[in-house]
Amino acid sequence: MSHIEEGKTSLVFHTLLPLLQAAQSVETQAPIRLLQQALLLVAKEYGGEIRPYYLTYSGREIPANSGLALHLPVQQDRPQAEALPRGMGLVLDTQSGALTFRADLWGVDASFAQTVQQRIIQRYTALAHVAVLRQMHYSVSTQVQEDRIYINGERSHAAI
Amino acid sequence: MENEAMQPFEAAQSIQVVVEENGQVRADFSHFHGEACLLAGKQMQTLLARLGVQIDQTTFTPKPELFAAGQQEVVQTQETEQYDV
Repeated sequence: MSHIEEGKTSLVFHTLLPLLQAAQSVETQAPIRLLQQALLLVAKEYGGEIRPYYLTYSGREIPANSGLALHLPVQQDRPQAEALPRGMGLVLDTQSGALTFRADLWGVDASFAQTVQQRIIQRYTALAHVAVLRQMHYSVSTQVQEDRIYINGERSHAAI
Repeated sequence: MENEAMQPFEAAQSIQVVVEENGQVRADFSHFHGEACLLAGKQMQTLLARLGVQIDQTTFTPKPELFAAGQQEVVQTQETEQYDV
């Protein structure tokens, strides 16, 4: 059988809503651990780091309820506007569970910030597919080519 | 010498996923029998949803092979899912 499915997806963490609404920590939950892995990949790519908070322009620390915020310092080999010196918090909406990005983007190239957000979502989506395919008992391999991530899952008929 | 029955070669089921930089995802299901690809796609969506990857809209477009499946046995099948993040 063959068909094509097309649709829109978003990152919405319904399973975390009870914890979020009770203002309890979600940092040890599986989706957040996966989100941290995705963020680490992006941080490594841009020479940044993860902190549990992001900063306002005045330097006030604002904790991200996911416990994750990406900080990208100004680098000599990149334009000054291509950095997130005050960080970008990954904040989960406590009513819907949707992932949002919070940052003070004064002086930051908006398209750069958008690219970083997309990259986080891309990495997370790829990691989620890998995790799911393994859960479905597929042997999984991945490959990154240019801006695409290729994931291949295989399972022999004998294993079904 | 023992007379061995010839076993037909059967390719492994595969799901190939491409995640674009803009978050668009394309998933190709290959070498499934009958409706097994639909079940695999459904299972994948359910498990992805538990991790927060949620499909808000989905369109379903059958390929020509889908119509052939109803008329004769399909040995090799393919399915494609495509959606944006």
